[in-house]
Amino acid sequence: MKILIIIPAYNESLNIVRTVDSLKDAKLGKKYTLDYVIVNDGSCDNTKEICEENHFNVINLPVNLGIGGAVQTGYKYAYYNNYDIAIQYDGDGQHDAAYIKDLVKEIEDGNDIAIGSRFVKELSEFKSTFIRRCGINFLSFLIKILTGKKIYDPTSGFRASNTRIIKEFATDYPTDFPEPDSITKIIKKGYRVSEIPVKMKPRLDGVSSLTTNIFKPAYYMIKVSIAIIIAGVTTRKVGDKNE
Amino acid sequence: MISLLVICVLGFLFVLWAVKKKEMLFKHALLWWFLDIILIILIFIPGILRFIADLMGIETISNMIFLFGFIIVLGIILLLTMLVAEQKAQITTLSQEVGILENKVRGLENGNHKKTNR
Repeated sequence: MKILIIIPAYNESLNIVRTVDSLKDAKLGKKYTLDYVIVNDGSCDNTKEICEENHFNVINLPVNLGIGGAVQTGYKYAYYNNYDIAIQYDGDGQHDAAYIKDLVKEIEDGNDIAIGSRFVKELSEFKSTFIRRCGINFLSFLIKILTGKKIYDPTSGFRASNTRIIKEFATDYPTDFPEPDSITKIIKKGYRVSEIPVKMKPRLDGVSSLTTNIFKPAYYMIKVSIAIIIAGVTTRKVGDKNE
Repeated sequence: MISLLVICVLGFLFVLWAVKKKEMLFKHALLWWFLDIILIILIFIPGILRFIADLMGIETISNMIFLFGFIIVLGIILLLTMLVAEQKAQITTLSQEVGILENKVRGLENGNHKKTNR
């Protein structure tokens, strides 16, 4: 079984080597081949040089497309190279490769997409601010209303997909708020989504794109809510005539 | 009246020059020329404006012109934003394919001896 780890990276020169090294913690059985691809989203630091020095498998995007476009590149790569499972894995070292086998198991059990969630059960020790937690709960609530399914961590970027979802994402992937938006669409289309608890590590180096000023998160919440509502209302089940 | 006519003719010629220099698409030039010709007709037969204004129950012609001007400009901006979205989608696809191809070329050049599989 061929598994591809998609690592989107924008100015992650401080973290990228550590991230790739961390994949050895995945410890999958003999029947799996674990490949990875870094999608360097037009970084303006030396991410590209570091990847090339280390002979990492890297796709260098000629321009900065944003997280949605970068992740979709990974799904296209997975689709073109016939991977069975694609897993998104952040380039900043927040995700723990030890959970990859759990995500893979969820897919093998017949789920189309498996989310590594910070908030399922009380396992979460993730240091998240109160405000951020409220925001995520609100998005979770919104998705519950629109789709009828409770997703505890709709913003998680640690997700595994099977071939059907790889194909979906390779063809159509949201640009601006990819995680919550795409998960809403996927549930609406009638795919099977599962969520498993994972622990995430705090970011070690560099800055997150969301915490640079106070207005950004507020504006983000409004935009992402509207995007989810549109996705929830307009997406039809696969096979329905209106699609 | 003369000055308005001069502006319209200059506008027409400017669009023609832009098309010639490939700084404007022909289909967009047609749109501007069409507007230009309507304006020229209105300059010569101002009675049309009075007639339409009375028909719509608008008291002053200038108000009507502002209304139409506003609607037309908004319409054009709407079309342009749609065009931007279309081009963004095209650029995204192009960049992704270029990136994937470049990755593949690099792999072939290295003769795959540095296998990336872990």
